[in-house]
Amino acid sequence: MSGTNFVFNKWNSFWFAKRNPQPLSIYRVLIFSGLLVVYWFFWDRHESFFNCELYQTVGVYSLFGIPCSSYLFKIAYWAGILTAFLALLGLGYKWTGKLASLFALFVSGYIYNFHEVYHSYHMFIIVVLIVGFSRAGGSLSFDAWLQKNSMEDSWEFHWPLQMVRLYVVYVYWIVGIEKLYYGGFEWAFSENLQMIVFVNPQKGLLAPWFLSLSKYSVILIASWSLFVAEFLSPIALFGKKAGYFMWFNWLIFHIGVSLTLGGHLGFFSQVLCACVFLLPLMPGEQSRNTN
Amino acid sequence: MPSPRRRILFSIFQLIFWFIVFLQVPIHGEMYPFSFFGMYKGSKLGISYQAFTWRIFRDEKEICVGKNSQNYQIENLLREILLKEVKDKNRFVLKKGKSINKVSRLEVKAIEKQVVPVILSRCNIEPGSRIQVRITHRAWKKLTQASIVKADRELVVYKGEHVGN
Repeated sequence: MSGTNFVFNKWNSFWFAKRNPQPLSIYRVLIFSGLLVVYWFFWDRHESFFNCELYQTVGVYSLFGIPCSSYLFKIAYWAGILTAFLALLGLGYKWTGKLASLFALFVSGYIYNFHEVYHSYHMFIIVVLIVGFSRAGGSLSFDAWLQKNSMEDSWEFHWPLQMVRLYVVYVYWIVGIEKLYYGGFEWAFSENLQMIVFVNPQKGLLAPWFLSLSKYSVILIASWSLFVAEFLSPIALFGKKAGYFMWFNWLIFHIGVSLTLGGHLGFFSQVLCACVFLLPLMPGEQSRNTN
Repeated sequence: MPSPRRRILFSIFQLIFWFIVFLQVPIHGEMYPFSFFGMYKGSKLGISYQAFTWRIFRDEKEICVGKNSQNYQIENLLREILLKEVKDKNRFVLKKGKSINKVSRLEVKAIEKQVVPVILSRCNIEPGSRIQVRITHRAWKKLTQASIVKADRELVVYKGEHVGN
């Protein structure tokens, strides 16, 4: 087998293998349930951002004026919730999935600083877009129930999950790379993390405990978060058990961040995204075929 | 297996997607997918929080802005500034540092809006202490252009007033 054929075969099997619709649909239910929770998080945030002179819209958002009227925004907000709920149920998913993901992008971008998705949610929004634009309504949905005929296995139920896997791993990995690039090894092998907690000791439940740790314990925690949870995240792509292991690592990592630095609850949406690595535990995956 | 045409289209879609995703890193210093809707680089109106990064060396009593640290969300600080009284004036020295991360208008605004005194008060640094603040070239340039700092790089921050020399 030539090298080119080998690459093409790998490419084809990675993206275009056949899969039954159930895993993607389970993932759709997870993601759109999470989206409704995220909307709930957004509920009181947008109020504080209006009429604030510090903020100015840029890019496409400037089309809505500075700032967008509260009335218009609320329409988008409630339309986002409605479409997300319909997408969760899988009702008219061909349209509701796309609309729900576009509304999620708009709302999440607008309430931050009128042009960017806040970094707690950027992974989640991309994943919502991937799922929203895929055929994730093929099972566990009203569409499937109304259609009655069960769908055949297809690559269209496979590629979104592969893309999400790649994307989740990439985000964690690139954050580790950035820490090394901007902060160097000093980020992990110094008291830097303790200093960050030091200036906000009242925020996290475990912050006082964290501040009482020795320098070496802090270095151990910082280096673990940098090297295992972030830098080594690509190992999640190598097998099911590696995926479970990394998911657990990410979960512990975010719990630790939340308890020491306080807040950071939005980052748990990333753990939800990373549930794609837990799909092999779901019933639909046992009957998976590959061509 | 999809038809060859669909596979080619899919590959093009993948290329575009990953190109956009990778592009975020050098532009923002952190990944903000789909912020290409409003890239603030080159945009007059563009603002962002993320460039405001800092850490404090307890022993050296030095505040480092824009280098070597985790991003800190200053929106909470800005809110607190509006709520919290900063009674004491603090005197500190601005010093040029390496240009590591880009600096947004908001970062400059944050300095104007007296984020630094809040940090000082939180860290129990006595008013009147000489504190070194390292900021990026771009922020320095903006500060000097706005006549916020004097040539000798000293400035005094007053609560509720324009930051001046």
